[in-house]
Amino acid sequence: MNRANTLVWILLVGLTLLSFALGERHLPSAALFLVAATKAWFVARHFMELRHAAAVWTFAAGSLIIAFVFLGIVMT
Amino acid sequence: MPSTPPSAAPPDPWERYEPPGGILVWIIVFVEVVTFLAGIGVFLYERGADPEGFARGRDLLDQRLALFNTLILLTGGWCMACGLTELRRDDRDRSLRWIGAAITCGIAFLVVKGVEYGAKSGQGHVFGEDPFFTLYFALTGFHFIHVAVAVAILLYLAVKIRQGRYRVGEHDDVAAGGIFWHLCDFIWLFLFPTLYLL
Repeated sequence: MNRANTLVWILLVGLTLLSFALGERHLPSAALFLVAATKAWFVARHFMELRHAAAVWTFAAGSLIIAFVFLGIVMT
Repeated sequence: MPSTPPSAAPPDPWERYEPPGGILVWIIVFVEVVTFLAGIGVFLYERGADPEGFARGRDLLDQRLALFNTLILLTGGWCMACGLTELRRDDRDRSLRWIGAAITCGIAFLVVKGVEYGAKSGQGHVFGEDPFFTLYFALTGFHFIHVAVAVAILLYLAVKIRQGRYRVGEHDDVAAGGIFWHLCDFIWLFLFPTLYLL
């Protein structure tokens, strides 16, 4: 086991429960997309190990996450 | 004066740009994420054209089951990350236990999704019924195939680890398999709020 892996997992579970609560209360969709983007960022940086990769890969993954948030906010 | 032996290969200037798991799996990751982003874009566009119909469709879905499945996938991701960590420490038995737990999470996700599909089709909701259910089945079905492939990859890697195929410092295949596994998490993190919570 690895302590950092476990902390990231706890954070992801916490954010998932938060997004579920936000969705049930029908809060603005931007909040849902921002929570999803934060989770995706942690998965990419930590579990997919982009924190060990050259900055260009982090930039590419970050761009896709920002594209998702942009899509979500503009189209809802 | 010391000189480089003639047989030594020159350093590869691109090596520092090599992503974890190798470039091939990252090409797959980016193609898949862009494909799903396009699908989510179509979903949101259609939702804009018929907000009431999509709200009705969403209310027919089981949000709690989807929440449960999200937690299963995230737990599987954690198990896979721990499995790779243990393999790097050269502890094959622990690594296999963690990867086995990740495989179990993947199979559980597929079973829960199968139950959800069964419930929906039992209620008469099928692909092609309306834009909401067409896109719901298309997006989740495509994701379902990815999880099934990821489970097959992890099973293959587990067999190879048991056979002692991977030694210290030779884990690129397992890292690549793990990245494909986490791709399923990554995509689902976008699908979950879009389909079930909006």
